[in-house]
Amino acid sequence: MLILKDVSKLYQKNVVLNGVSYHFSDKKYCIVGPNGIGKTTVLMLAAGLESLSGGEVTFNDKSVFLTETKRYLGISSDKINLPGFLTAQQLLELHCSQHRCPFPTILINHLGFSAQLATQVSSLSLGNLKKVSLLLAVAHNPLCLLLDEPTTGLDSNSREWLLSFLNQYHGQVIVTSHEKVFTESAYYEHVDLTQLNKCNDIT
Amino acid sequence: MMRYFRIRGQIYCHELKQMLPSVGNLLTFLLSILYLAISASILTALISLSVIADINTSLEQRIIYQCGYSLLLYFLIRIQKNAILSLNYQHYLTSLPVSKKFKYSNTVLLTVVAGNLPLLAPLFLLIYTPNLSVFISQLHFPIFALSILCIPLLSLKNKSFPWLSFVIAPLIIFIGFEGAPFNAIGINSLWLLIIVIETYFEPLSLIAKKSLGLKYYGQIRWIEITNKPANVLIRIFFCGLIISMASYVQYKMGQVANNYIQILFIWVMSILIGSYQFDNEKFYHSHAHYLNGLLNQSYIRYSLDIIPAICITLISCILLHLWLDFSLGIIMLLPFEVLVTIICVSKFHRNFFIIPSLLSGLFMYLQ
Repeated sequence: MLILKDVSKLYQKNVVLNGVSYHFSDKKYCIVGPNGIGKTTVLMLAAGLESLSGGEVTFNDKSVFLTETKRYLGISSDKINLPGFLTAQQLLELHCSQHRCPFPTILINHLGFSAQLATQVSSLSLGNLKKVSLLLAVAHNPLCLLLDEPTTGLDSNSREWLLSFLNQYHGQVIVTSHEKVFTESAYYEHVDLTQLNKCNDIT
Repeated sequence: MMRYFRIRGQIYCHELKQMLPSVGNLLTFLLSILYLAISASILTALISLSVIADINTSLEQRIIYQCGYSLLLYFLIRIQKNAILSLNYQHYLTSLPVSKKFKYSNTVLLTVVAGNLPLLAPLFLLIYTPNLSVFISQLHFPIFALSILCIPLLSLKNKSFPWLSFVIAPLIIFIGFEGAPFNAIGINSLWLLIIVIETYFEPLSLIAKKSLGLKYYGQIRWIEITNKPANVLIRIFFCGLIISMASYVQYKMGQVANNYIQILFIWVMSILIGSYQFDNEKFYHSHAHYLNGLLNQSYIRYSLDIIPAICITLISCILLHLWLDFSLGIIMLLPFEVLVTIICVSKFHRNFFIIPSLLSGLFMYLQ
């Protein structure tokens, strides 16, 4: 279970998140809120990719900054700058080697990404970059998937497949999105960050 | 057409101007002597031409001088590759209605400008060949000049460092011909053939492509370095230059102020090599989230990332000790100061050189 306890995040002196607490105990969540409220930041903090200015983030009672916890988490976000000089295949190989999981051939086929494997990440289109990012998030079958705007830039086939994949996903799924397929879906519990983020009280 | 050449020329100058401050960023205080260093390197190389031209030069000396000269030219062109090929403006230049021949001729002209004396000097020397019989009896030098003409192509065309031409082939020639009577024409022809083969077929990269998949973090940085080798090469180039200058200064100064000179050179080299950490910091900064997501510990990444700097340091230490007789006590200062510089770059960024400089000053005082 992912728990945010009194989480705060400052960029330089700008308060982005203040006193955010939430227990993600169910299967599927969609974090909603206006642009700039800190949805992506919440995901980055939940995956242990950014340092906290205050508070604590744990997954199954262990800090998300621990290597053993990171094995259970998978994140896809455009904010993660992947090494552009590697090919998609190399990125996935390294990822699978680190997580000791098989190469995600089936997922690659579903996303129609096979032809792009040999392409350098820096040369990928926006949609294909999103596909690599998604593949890195799901390849190791994490217990908790953190997806930032997962459908942005995807072609219709890939989009359809992804939505059904997420609906059937065995682990926890936390997405941030403005899309109706998530915000109006009965599968997803909605978390309004505007109400959780006490940063608004300061401003 | 002249306008196109003017654009290419302007891009070349602009890229060089961009490159020099970026080097200066790392070595602010060295920027003022950079131009001197380049010209000094060219002069050092030109002196070595007389050794190469002499048909009676020993095998060992021939390999060292020819390799050194070729490497100098290779690095000189490689460092300026982006500027010569206008790589950052490829799409714009391709959109211009200019014939391929004209584009190539522009590139050749800019390559000649970039390679200048080291590229043209062997050809100029050939002009002074008095007659055909001398030309034929001294055929090893025209063949060498031909291989020098191939070096810019090797440098501009290939992505990876030409290990075959500059490391493997010289070693094999040296081991294979050591003690045996050798023919300078034969050796130069063989070397020219290897350079041509490597230029067009890149046999080592064919092997590399069939290598194991990407499994370890260290491989990421290796790929990055091979894709953008300028920052490592520029340090190797200047380390080689500093060692050559140290050799010359030692020869001129004798033993009187030897220790102080040695510490001075160690100080410059440690700051030059240690400033490689700027590249690592830039990499960490650009891919912070991705790296945080990796499962290996950050201290392992830090240790792996300083390996290129450590390698350059160790090779420099060996050269300084074996070639220039630097004392072991002073040589030990180099890896120590490189590590201090690396740590200072991480901690103090632009003011990174203060602590290593103070350490060197202290060490000099103790001497």
